[in-house]
Amino acid sequence: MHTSANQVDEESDEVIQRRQRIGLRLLLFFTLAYAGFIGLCTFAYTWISETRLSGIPLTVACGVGLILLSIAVAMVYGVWNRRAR
Amino acid sequence: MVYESSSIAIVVFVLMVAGTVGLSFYLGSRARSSHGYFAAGGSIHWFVNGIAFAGDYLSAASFLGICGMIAFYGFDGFLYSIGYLAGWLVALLVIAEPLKRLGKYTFADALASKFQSDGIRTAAGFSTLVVSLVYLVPQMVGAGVLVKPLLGLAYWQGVVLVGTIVVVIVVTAGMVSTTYVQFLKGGLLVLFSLLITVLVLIRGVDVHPEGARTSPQRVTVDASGQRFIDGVRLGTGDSEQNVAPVGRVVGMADGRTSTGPVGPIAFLQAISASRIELSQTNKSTEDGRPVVEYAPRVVRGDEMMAPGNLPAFQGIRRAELFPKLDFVSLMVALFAGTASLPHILIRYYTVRDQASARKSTIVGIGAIGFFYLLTLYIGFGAMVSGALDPSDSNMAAPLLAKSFSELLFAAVSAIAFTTVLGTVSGLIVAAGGSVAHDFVAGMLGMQLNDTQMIRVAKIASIGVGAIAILAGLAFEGMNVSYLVGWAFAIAASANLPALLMLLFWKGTTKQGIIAGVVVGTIASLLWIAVCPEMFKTMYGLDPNTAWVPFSQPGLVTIPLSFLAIAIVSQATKPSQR
Repeated sequence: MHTSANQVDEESDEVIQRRQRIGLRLLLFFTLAYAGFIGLCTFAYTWISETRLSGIPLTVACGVGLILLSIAVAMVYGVWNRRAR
Repeated sequence: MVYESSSIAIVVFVLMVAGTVGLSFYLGSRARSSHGYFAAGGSIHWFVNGIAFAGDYLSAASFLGICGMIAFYGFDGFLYSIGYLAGWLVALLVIAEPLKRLGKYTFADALASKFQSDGIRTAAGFSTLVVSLVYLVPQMVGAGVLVKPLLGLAYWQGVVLVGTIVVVIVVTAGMVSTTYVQFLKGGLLVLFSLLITVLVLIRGVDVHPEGARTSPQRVTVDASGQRFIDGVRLGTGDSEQNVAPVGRVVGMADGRTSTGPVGPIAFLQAISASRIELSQTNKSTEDGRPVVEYAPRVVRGDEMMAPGNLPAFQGIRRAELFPKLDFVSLMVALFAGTASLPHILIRYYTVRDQASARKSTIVGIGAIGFFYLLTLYIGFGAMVSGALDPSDSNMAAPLLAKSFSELLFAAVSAIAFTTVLGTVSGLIVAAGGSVAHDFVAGMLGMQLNDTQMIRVAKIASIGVGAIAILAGLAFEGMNVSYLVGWAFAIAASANLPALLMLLFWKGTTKQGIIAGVVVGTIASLLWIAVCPEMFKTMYGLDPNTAWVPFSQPGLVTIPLSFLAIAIVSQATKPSQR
C-alpha cells in the first residue's frame, strides 16, 4: 500500500498509523462542531438569530469562530506532525 | 445598470492577461516530460503549492458570488464561506497524504493503486470528467457576467474569450504554468481583498443624508427593444438615465450618523445596529413585454446577520422538514466535496513528498480561511457602500472597489477575471489528464510515450474547453452558487466514499470501489435532473411536481455511494480458505 512512483517518505507504518489516528480524531472533533453549527442554524433558527454576543448576532460569532477553528485545527495537526517526525 | 467600459480597466486587464499567457509560454518551454506536464515534475515548493491551492479554489463563485450574496442577503453568503473552508480539513486530515503516497498523476491512480484495476481507473476517470464539466459551467457563466461591465463585451463574447485564453494557457504548459498562475492569482486575490477590507474599516459606517428612497426604479422595454428607466432612456449619455445604485444606511440604533474608522468587531456591531436600505427586484410583464422594478426595502442589520434571507435558504425558516434538509444537504456537500474535486486532488502530485502535501494544505487552509473572513467585511461593506447594482449581485465586490478608486476597480476586476482563468485552467488540466491516463492509457490499454501522452491530453483539453464554452452559453442566467453546490455534491458522492473506504475499510473490493463511484456519480446526476430547482429554472415547470423533495442531492447520494461500496464489496469478497 505504501509504494508509488512519487518520492516515498521514509516513515514507518507505525508513524503513518499514528498520524491517521490523530487525523481522524481531529476530524471527528471538527465535524461535531460543524454539524452543531449547521444544526443550530437549521433547527434552532430563532434562538441562534436572536442571541447576541457583545452586540453581534451569535450566527456571525459562531461562523467566524468556525473559520478560526478550521485554521487552528490545521495548525495543531501541522505542529503535531513536526514533533512526531 | 449600464456600464461604461473604463480605459484604465481595459489596460490593467490586457496587461494581466498578457502576463498570464506570457508566463505560460515561458514555463511551457521548460516542461518537456509528461511528469512535468501533468504534475509539474513534483518540483513545486510546498508554500507555492499552498497559495496555488487558494488560487485553484477561490473561484468566481467564491469571490464574486459570496461577496455579492453577503451584500444582498447578508449572513447566508457567509455560510458558503464556512462550508467551503470546512471541507479543507477533510482534505488535510484524511486525504492529502494517502493520495500523495498512492498516486502519480490523477485521482484515479490512487484509487486503482491497491487493485491495479482498469475498471476502477475508467470509473474514476468518468467521475473526474463529469465533475470537471459540471464545475466548469458556473465558472464560464461567471466569466460571461464579469466581462460585460469590465470590457463592454456581450455575455457570449466573455464566455468564448475565457474559454479560448484558458485553452491556450493549458496547451502551452500544463501543470507548471497553471500552478504559477494560481500562485500569483491566489496571492493577489488575498492581498487585494485585505486592502479593500482595510479601506472598508477606515471608511466605517455612515448614515446617508437623504435617508431612504420612497419610490421604486422601474425598467421597461419598448417594441424596438430599447430600455427605459422611469420613462427616460436607460444609459449613461447626456439625455439618458442609469439605474441608481442601492445599499445605504438610513439610520443607526444609537442615533449616531457616522462611526468614523472602526475595528473589525466594532464594524460588525455597527452593521448589526443599523437600518439599511436594500432593493427588492420584482419582475412582471406589461403588454407582453418585461418590466423590472427595483423597490426600496429597509431591513435591520441584525436581521441580515441571521440565516434564511437568501431565497435558496428560506427553507430554514419554514416548519416543514424537506426545505430544511435542502440546506443541510448543501452544507454536507460543501464539507465532503472539497476533498473530492479533481483539480484540487491533482495538486497533491505537484509537490515532492507527503510532508510537502500536508504543509501545502495547511498553507492553503490559512490563505483560504483568511480570505473567507475578509468576505464578511467586503460583503457587508458593499451592502452599505451605496454602490450596489440592484440588477447584478455578482458585481458587488468590484463596485465596492470602484467606490474607493477607479484604479482599484480595474485591479480587482482583472484579478477576478484571472480567478476565472485560473480555476478553469485547473479543471481543464484535470480533465485532459484524466482522458490521457485513465481512458486512453488505462481503459483502452494504449501504450503511449511521453510525447504522445501529452499530445492526447492537449487534444482532450481543447475538446473540454469547447464543451465548457457551449455549456457556459447554454446555462446563461442560471444561479452560479446553485451550480457550484451541485458540482460539490457530485464530487462528494462519486469520489469521497470510494477514497475513504479504500483507506479505512479492509473489506473493500475492486468491484465495490467501481460500484461506489458509478452509483455516486449517476445517482447525484439523476437527482439533480429531476429536482425542484431544475423543474423551475430549466424546464419551466411547477417545482412542486418535481420527482424528489429537495434540490441538493448530497444528503442522500453520499450515503448511497457508501452503501453501494459496502454491499458490492460484501458480495464480491474473496472466499476464505
